[in-house]
Amino acid sequence: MSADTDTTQIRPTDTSGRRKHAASQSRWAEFRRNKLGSYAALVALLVTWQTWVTVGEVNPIVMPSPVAVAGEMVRMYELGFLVPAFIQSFSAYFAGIALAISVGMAISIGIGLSKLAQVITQPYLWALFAMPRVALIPLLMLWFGLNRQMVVMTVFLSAVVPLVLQVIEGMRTADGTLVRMSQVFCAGRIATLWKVVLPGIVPFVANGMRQSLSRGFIGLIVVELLTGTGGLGTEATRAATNFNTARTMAMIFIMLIVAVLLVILSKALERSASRWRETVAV
Amino acid sequence: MTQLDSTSAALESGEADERSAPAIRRVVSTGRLEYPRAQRIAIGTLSVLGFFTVWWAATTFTDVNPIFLPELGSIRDAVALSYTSGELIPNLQSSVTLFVACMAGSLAIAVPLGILVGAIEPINRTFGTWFWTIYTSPRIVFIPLILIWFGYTTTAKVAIIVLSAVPPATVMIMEGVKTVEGSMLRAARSFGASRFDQLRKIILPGTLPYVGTGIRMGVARGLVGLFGAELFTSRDGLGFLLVDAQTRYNVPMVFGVLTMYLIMCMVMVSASAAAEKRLSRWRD
Repeated sequence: MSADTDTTQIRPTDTSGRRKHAASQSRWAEFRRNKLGSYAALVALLVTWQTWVTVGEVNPIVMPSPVAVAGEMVRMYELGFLVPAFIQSFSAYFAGIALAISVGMAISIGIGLSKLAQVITQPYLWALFAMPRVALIPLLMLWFGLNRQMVVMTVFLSAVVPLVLQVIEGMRTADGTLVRMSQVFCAGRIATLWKVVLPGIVPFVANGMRQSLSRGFIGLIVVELLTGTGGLGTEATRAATNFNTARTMAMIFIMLIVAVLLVILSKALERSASRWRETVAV
Repeated sequence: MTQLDSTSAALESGEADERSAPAIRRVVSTGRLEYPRAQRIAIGTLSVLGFFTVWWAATTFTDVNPIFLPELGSIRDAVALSYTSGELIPNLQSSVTLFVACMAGSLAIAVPLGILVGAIEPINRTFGTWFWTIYTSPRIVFIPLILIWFGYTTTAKVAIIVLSAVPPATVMIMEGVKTVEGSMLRAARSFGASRFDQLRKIILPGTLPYVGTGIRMGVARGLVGLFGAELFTSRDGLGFLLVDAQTRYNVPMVFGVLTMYLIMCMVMVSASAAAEKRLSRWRD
């Protein structure tokens, strides 16, 4: 297993070097080899879907055509509730994420510093990890009522757990040799923390934040779908209860696109944060 | 290549959370040694006991709002009441049965699908990226659509759970197939192994540890799906009890149901982790 993880760590730098070389040869050839099939599959899916709906005269409540869904997106924008829903969702989302990052970092560095604290908190962290935080929504509804504060708390709870777990993991796996070396050079605890342990956990923080961003988004969506507290999810549920399938699907696609963009963003963040470590590892 | 990058990124970290667990033991963090296992268990138990003592003390000696922190006794009474009224057991059973059945079904889909996509290069090139995309996207957004299609039925719940569990399992198995060594396949081929032989004797055993990981991740995501589905449909199952208690402001029962959820999750997650360990044992 450990041999496995070693190779996976080396691989990224390895391939990027090779890829740069290949890119200079022919960008088109690479596109054709790696990506063309995927895009063709997507286009084929959309065409089949459109043909099936138009030719088969499928009831639009059951299955609207892709064109209708795209039209609905434009209409929602023109009706003027898409942008406010966006703003509403994302203000709660980023508030929750910001809270999760600040509180999560403080908690996890505190726990990570002491082995005793790690052992004491382990059962709770494990319980929170095992249980999807989605289940806590009814309790949060009772505690905070049906408002945006509750939405922020849901995002916070969904996002904070993976971050805390990752950062503690990072503190635990701080390079023992480096720590001992800094002690040999008479570095105090604070200097060791500041110069060895904290730089070492940067990739873990980045990884934790990546998970936080996606888990937080799931929390946001579920709570908005479930409770009529506004935002993208609530618009989707509202459309669904009116049996406006085209609008439901449009909302779903918008949320999916946002989610994918978040993933791309967070992966880029993670990559840039872990870059220095890979070069050292190789 | 991008495929490999994203695989290693996900395997290394993130979604494959505890994969790196063995690494913990061989390093020393701030110079102090890890606590031995027996001590860890003892301290953990003490910590949990202490937690409940503080809870008990807080509800007994201070007048903390019972909506935030109900008395431990009232939680026990609420659960006991729903047991004697015959509500608890059928709903618990329904949740557990539904989940186990859905997980079995999800694996029956994910294992062949993962092997198919992973082993056949053109299929992999065309659909591999899309499986990754589906896997990284929150499938929970499909709930309104599923409710339109199936109504508030058990079918809808099944659809939500399967949709949550299948993609992570499939992606893991698909990537696992790719790790099977080409030299072994070439060796088998030169000894005259048919495609089926290669599948049965090389690809399947080689993928088995990843099937284990797939099971574990499928279970973790499946639980999210189960809770989402039960909260939305709330016809039966623990989700019904939870929403019912919540709408009646029966806070002790909300805590009681959450505790049962927690126990269920812990059992499922440990079972799946054990399955993963078992399936990858032959490798070590």
